[in-house]
Amino acid sequence: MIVLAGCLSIAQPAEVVSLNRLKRDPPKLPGLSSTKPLYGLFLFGERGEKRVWAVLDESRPQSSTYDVLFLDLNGDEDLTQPNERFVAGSRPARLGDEVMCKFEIGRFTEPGTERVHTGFSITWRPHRVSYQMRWLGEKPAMGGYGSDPENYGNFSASAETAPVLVPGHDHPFQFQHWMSGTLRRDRGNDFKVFIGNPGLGSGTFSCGDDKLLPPDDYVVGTLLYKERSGATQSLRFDMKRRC
Amino acid sequence: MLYYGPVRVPTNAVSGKAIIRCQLPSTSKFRSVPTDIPVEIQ
Repeated sequence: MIVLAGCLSIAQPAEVVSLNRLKRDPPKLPGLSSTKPLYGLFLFGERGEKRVWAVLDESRPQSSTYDVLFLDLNGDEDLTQPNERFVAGSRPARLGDEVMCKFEIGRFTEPGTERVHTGFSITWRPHRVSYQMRWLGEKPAMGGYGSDPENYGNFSASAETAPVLVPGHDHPFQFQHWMSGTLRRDRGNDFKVFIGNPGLGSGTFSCGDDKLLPPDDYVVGTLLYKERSGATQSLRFDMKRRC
Repeated sequence: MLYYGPVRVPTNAVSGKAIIRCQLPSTSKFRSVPTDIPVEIQ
């Protein structure tokens, strides 16, 4: 009897990206104008193994306007290639009183893959940096968010402390509350969450939009609290509304 | 981009720290990791 032994390779679904003890060694950089470049790091891949550095620069030193972006399109941690330099425009835009610089990267191929995301942009404002894209050319993905607008994410003055962002919809979803950290006993409370992937650092949550889940899907919340007797109790509620 | 719903804190809940555990139901087509979010009961 001949027994044929084979190995069937089955693609495993992506799991939660482990960010513990993530090393962030500085990428190779071209000459910069700024003495204070700003660093951020995107992770792609099933285990977040594909690292894409984003470094902001000032075209005019000490202007405090970051209108140049270096983005590690091929994930080789070398930002000296000419096609990895993006300029925001002839002059920064204004949203109300706030200056902002938007970098339109457009189509972005995950390094080492044929997975293409579209509409990729990164926006710098004086107190935060955000991104958005259409994941696999379909549903919006964006970040970095925090529990309130005061702690939305910003890039860091050093690579070693760069915020880490995990875009997309491949990993098991996790949750970040928004403006819902306090619950009052004497009134109804609306508990609100983003759905997506936590990053590393303050304000680094990446999420989808309100159409990420199908219309009949929702989030289950369980309030775990102590009652006066000291016993721990639980109360389930459903988050079926979206905005 | 937000998903939300009402939660009424029981009157016998002690003020102070509590947890809201979030996850997707078993019927969801997506996977989730139960996420414990610290909250404050007042």
